[in-house]
Amino acid sequence: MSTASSNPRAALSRTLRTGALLLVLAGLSYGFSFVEFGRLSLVIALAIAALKALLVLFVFMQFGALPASARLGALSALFMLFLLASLMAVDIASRTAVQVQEPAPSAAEAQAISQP
Amino acid sequence: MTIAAERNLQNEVRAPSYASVHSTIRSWLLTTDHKRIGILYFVVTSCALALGGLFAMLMRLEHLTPGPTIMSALTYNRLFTLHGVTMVWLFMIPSIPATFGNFLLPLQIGATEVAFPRLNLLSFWIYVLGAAVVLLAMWLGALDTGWTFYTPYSAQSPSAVVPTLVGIFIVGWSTILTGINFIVTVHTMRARGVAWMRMPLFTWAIYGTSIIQVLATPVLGLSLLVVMLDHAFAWGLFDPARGGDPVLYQHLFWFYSHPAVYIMILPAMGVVSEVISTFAHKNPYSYKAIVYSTLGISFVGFLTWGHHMFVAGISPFDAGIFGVLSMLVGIFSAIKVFTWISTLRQGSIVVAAPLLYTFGFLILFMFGGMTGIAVATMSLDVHWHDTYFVVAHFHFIMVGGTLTAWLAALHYWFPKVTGRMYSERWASLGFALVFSGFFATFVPQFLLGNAGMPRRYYEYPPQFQLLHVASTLGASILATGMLITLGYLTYAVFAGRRATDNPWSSRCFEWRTSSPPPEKNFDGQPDFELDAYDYTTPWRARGEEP
Amino acid sequence: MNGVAHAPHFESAERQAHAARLGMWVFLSSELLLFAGLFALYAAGRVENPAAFRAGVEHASKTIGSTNTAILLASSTSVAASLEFLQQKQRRACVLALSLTMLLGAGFLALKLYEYAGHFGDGIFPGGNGSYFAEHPIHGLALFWTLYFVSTGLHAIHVTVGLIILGLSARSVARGSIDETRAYVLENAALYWHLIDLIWIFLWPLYYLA
Repeated sequence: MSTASSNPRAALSRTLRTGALLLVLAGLSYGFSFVEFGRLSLVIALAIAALKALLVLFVFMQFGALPASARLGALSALFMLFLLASLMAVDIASRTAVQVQEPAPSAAEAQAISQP
Repeated sequence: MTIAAERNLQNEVRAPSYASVHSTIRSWLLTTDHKRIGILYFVVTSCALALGGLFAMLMRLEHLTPGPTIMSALTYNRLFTLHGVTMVWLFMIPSIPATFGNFLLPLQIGATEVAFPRLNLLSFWIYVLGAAVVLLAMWLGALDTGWTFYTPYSAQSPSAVVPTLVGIFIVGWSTILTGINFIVTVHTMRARGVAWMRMPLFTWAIYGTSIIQVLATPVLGLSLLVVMLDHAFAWGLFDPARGGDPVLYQHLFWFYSHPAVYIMILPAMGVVSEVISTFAHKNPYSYKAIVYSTLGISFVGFLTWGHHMFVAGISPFDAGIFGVLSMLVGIFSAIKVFTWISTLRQGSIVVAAPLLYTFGFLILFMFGGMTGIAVATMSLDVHWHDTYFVVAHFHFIMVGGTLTAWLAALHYWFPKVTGRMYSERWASLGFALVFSGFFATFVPQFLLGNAGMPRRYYEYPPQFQLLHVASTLGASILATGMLITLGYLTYAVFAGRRATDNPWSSRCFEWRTSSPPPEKNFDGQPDFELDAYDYTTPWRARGEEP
Repeated sequence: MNGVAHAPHFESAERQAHAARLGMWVFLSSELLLFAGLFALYAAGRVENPAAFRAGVEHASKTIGSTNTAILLASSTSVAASLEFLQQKQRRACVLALSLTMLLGAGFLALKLYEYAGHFGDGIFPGGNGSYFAEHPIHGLALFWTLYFVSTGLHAIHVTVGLIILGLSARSVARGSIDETRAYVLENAALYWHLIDLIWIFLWPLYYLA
């Protein structure tokens, strides 16, 4: 289902221009990776990646032309990915060190330990 | 049926049924007819049920005495693993969707086929291949990790871990492809006049199930893949010494396996919706409530997996999130139960085996569901986790729920599939034995678990013996009921008396064609003008009694 | 689309195309969820071992990885172009664009293998095996590299499958069995290829950049 079958030159040009934009964004990402942004580095890199992904999704894969139910389905898949990754990460992130206090042995136990 | 009606039936010129139109073995094994594929699945999954049931009986026999009875501890560990693997993946998941779903989905939406018939056939053979690999793994010595394959033991156990996981991985692909097929079928193959909100409720159930199949199963695939890598190559993805965490495996596994239980129960709920409307001769109290709660379960079922890991070492914060989310999903099941009861109320109820099993479902599913909410309460689960309480809970749902509904479906659609009727008398006996046997098997297990009997334990303290013996006795009664059911139904397939096209006088769409249906499902354009649940407008189908 | 051949159980060719497209998108959702676990393991692993993961990224072959990113982005462009050509009935241009896509894909795989060889040469093997880990005893570094190998390995398998699918499609286009009336077949092949690109778009920053 081509979006511009009436104007093939425009459609092809759009494809090529999107490709060029993708490469520019990749270059940008590559450049940023040399700058020390600290924790923000990953955020910036993933944000640019998201931009590229949107371009591929909407221009190349024609996501916007899909029926609403199909788009909802695909978005559910993405949601599930986020759900899995975030709740797993939250689990690790929210673990607190638990100090285990061994209860002092009773007199009988202490005797048993010292006389194997 | 009156003698005149029977004679009419015999004299009528009908298109040959789907079953008799081609009769070579090749025409069955290489069929692209969704009805035949449904039957092929039925045969293989029933064998899986028998095998899983055999494993269960052996375990229950072992538990007759506190110490060793008929097997070693290693054998016992392998049996409970195999029982789980066989029942979950080889029986429960395909039991209703791949069998009844395949047979009925196109009929219920007025289609002649599913969207991708050849893919459907491929799905079946992929399932068979996976099942064969699992069987091969059993022959190679099976595995003893439990059906959940927790790390680190699954990476270390000197048993046939990899072949088993390969088999399940393969079976998973069958599930995904079937799910894709059904989703696309519902979207694109509905006959004229079958709008989304006019579809039969069983179709909605299969649709909701297919969504889960498609989204959840790949995560299982990955979980199994990483365990295989760990076992075969010791890559230690979950090894704390190398930066991993065994609990992360559990996250991956349960992310699939909790929605998987909704794959097992949603189709059963679909069956219940159909049987209740038909046998109460009443439209559902709220069609929309059933539809939205079905979709609700499909979605919210994905949000709750951590409740299997309350005591595994996840953070209390994460556990708290999962506890709250787990309560949400119960709301949808409750909505359904209330809707079903309200549908029965003031209906013109006719009692037959399908309805008997459905009554059984309502009772057992309700108790199973309530105990589910109970174990989803973190503070209570600390006591019950890994005890027989949990075992009893999920068997109430899976056996008391899904298997009971499967039996209801078997009897309800028996005339549709075979064109014959089974014996109600034998069916009542079968039901009585199955229901009472089930009760006697699993109620003692609630008591055992609450008293502290751990699951997957080979030996137990002598004070638990009485309850164990009771449970084994119950299992024997259940098994007898199942065997009797197998007996009279097999007889009825070949020698049951001929049924009319619509012996239950149901309005639902699959009954608007002959029983059994012709190869192309409908003789011409299906007549779906009357609603699938409209029992008020006078209407008589072909072959119905006046 | 009157008069266009279609499978008998579909009402029309249009309906069949729609069903095929929908089926492909559902399948892509499944494929996304297959990789989801690996992204989730990365997220949890990174929270658990932040220093190790940063160290891992620092030692990654950024040049090769980035070249591979450019390759895949270009290949998505060329496969999208091939669809445009097919729509305009320019069969030869379509096959050329598809061939370019496959060449780029093969290049990706070749670079990947070269990269793996480099890692092995450095003493980095999956499972924390290899001399590199003895020299760099950072807790969690083994997990980073094992996840790297599993994620990029699974991705590479998908690239290989994608190449086969593209090859079969190119052959069908060249023979004329896929034409503009059956464009959805090539469309589906292209969708699969784009998904492979999408996965890599996110693997790249996680394992090479930050």
